[in-house]
Amino acid sequence: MAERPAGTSVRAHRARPAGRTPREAAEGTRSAGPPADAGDPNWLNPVVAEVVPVTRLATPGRIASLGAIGVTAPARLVDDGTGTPRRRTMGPRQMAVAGAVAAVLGLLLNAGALQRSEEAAPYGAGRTIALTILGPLATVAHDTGLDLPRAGLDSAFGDDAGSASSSVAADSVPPPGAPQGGLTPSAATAATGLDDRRDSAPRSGLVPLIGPDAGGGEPPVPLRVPSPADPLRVWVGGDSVAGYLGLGMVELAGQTGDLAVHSHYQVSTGITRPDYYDWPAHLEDDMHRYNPEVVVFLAGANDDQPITTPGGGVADFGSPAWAREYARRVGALMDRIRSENRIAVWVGLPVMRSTDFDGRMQTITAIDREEAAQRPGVVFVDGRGDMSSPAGGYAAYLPDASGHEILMRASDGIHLSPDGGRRLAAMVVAEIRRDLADGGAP
Amino acid sequence: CLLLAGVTVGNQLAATRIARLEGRRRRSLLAVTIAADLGVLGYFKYAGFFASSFVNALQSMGLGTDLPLVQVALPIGVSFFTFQAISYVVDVNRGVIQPGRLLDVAVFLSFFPHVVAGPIVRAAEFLPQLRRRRDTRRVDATRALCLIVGGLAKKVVLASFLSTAIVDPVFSEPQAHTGLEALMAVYGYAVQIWADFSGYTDIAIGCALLLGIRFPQNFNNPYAASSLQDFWHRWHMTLSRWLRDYLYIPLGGSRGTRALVARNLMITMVLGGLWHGAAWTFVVWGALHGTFLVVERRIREHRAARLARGTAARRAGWPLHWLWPRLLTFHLVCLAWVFFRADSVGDALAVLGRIVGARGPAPLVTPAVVLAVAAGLAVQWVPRDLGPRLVAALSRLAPAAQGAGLAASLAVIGALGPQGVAPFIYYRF
Repeated sequence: MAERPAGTSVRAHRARPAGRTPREAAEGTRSAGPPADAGDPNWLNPVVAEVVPVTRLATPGRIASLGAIGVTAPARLVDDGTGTPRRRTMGPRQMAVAGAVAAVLGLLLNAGALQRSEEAAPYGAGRTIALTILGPLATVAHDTGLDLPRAGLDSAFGDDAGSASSSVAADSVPPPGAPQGGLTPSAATAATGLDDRRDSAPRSGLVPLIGPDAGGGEPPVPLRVPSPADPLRVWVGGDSVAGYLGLGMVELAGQTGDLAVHSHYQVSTGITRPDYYDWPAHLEDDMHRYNPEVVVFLAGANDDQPITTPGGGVADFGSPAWAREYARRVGALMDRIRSENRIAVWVGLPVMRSTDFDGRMQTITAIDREEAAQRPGVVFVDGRGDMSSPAGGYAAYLPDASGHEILMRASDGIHLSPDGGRRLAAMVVAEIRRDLADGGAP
Repeated sequence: CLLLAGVTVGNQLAATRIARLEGRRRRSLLAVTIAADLGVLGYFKYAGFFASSFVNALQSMGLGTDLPLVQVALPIGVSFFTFQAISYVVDVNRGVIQPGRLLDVAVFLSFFPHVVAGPIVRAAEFLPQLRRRRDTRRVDATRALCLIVGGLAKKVVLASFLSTAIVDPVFSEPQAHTGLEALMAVYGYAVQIWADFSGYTDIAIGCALLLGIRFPQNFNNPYAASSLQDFWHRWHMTLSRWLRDYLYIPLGGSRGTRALVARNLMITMVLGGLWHGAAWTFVVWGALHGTFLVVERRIREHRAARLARGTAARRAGWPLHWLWPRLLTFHLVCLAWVFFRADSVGDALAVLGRIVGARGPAPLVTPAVVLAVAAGLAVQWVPRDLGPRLVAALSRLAPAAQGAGLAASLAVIGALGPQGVAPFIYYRF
């Protein structure tokens, strides 16, 4: 078949005159422009119609008339053939000018924001170089006042978008306005620590586990057998892997009725970069706002990056200095939760599909496990053990309660699927209940 | 990458052979090629879905199996480039185009603007453009940049805001939200998916335009459609054209008995639904659209018959007879979107149940959300010549001014968009 003439597409017949077709007139639709079935331009999707340079317009009369008025080298105008006004095109030099202006102005207008996002990148040569370049740019932008528009927009819209867009808070029960931890009548003995609690014999079905007033004046949080009238308050959070875990727990809470779960996860966060998202501070806020009795935390997927040490240096992932610093931070977080007599549940990451990544995550999980083992009152849930294949490897499909093989992991081989979240949530909740029955953390 | 290369080479070899063969051998080679392309798509996209559904079905019948269930890593763009390859081979067979050079076909399949989720371009539209010498002195830069900036704004600002503000919370936990929130989430998703997809398409068309390649239009104000048939002429136009030319018409199209046409419509729409993803919710979405189209067709025939008999009912006056079909169409489309978005059929029904049943305060329905939804819908009704006039006016500005405008737009989009990684990237689509 003969090749179609250059410059046209298969639907070359599309150049229709403006105005109504008989069909439109019959239907009574209004058309401000070309008929509806001609692939109309709409203002955000201008049709990529016949971009016919003026020299190649098919009608000889037009070219003749142009010649008649002395137009020999046509201006760089294009005509859709649909009756819309002509656009001017650009040549390479003009595009270079436009591009250069856009690049320079763009860098200056956005220097502050670019600097902020580059600061959140993992420590390393790339980050240092980028910040070295952006530093002077940001200074120039600030001095010339060019960063004001972006800063203004960011404060008007960006903060809202930023904080709301990255985290999802989910509740099975609306959070209590005031801390509701109260002393149960049967627990008159004021134990001074967990060991004492463990020794106390259960009375009348209630486990009299009361901690003393935490130094900060917070009322003590009783560990007890929860009921629908007085559900156990649970907070679950962490990074994006904790997302479906949290939702699974919220769902479970809705089914059983004796748990009140608040889920707060933040995408792209971890413990290595408090300058990006300060989990200790946010955890502190949430603990005071929701007063949970159990705090469930899962993080680590974003933590395989260099960490700053107290001495001021930067330790590479995998080095002993890194492990020490990470362990210190995890331990500090656990201590903070425990100091208010809440149960801390640390969930280890499940097996990852990429063996490299899995190896790195195992390093982190080992640190978590070690720190949890050193502290009574901190429970470590082995997410890896339950969410793997019988041979201990990555398993995307696992049997659910009724034995059906269900997809438990997301297509990236890292995150959980909704069903995987439910499965892990069931594990965590079972562990919590077991600890309550045992009278405290093992 | 290897897969794309393999598909390219395989289809090109097949196409060149097909052009030279005749008769039965030609047809059988065509069939083999199409089967291979669909097999590639089927394996990477659907193996897990079909295998697990099959295994679970057997288990519920009491027959256990040891079928290995493998989560196959999905190569990016596989749905799109396999469909484009099929269209190339079939067009060669039909004589619409000659087979191109291997390099041209490789560019056609791997062209970066459309390889991920771009318009499904026909070889007949694309290959001639490669052969034509493109004039670098006449780059339609203003329109390209307007498309790119507009697409970014739709995708980064509008779609991501709606997804995080209302759609994701409601769809992940329907029971925790009230009826009004669920309703706004459904409308919000309609706007979100249009903004996301048409925004991406605009960026793709704009990038291609900067390189001198023209892509076909993919969206044309879909929510201004007056019927489901009209909707499919306005939504993902390249896909519906592909389905029409390579699936619906070969099945028989609109010829034949009413039952046959209904069957063709249902098969086309169900497979079109399944193409979007490996889950039953997509099948339900396709089946819904198929049903709507069949019923609409029936109504249209009925009305035509009554018109012929002279017993047509009096039409309601304007604006009702203009407003009602569009309102109904939009709501039917939204109903189908609930299934498209939900994680499972049960979740979809839960969301619908909340709309009908649950009363109560709706804290997620903020003025910003309402404004975003209203803006997304209002844009579909902007007069059609406004955009081209605006672009033409902008194109007359000096290049430096256009560059400055670009920088300013990007700053605004950057400020209004999500900070850091947008969580909607973690969800499907």
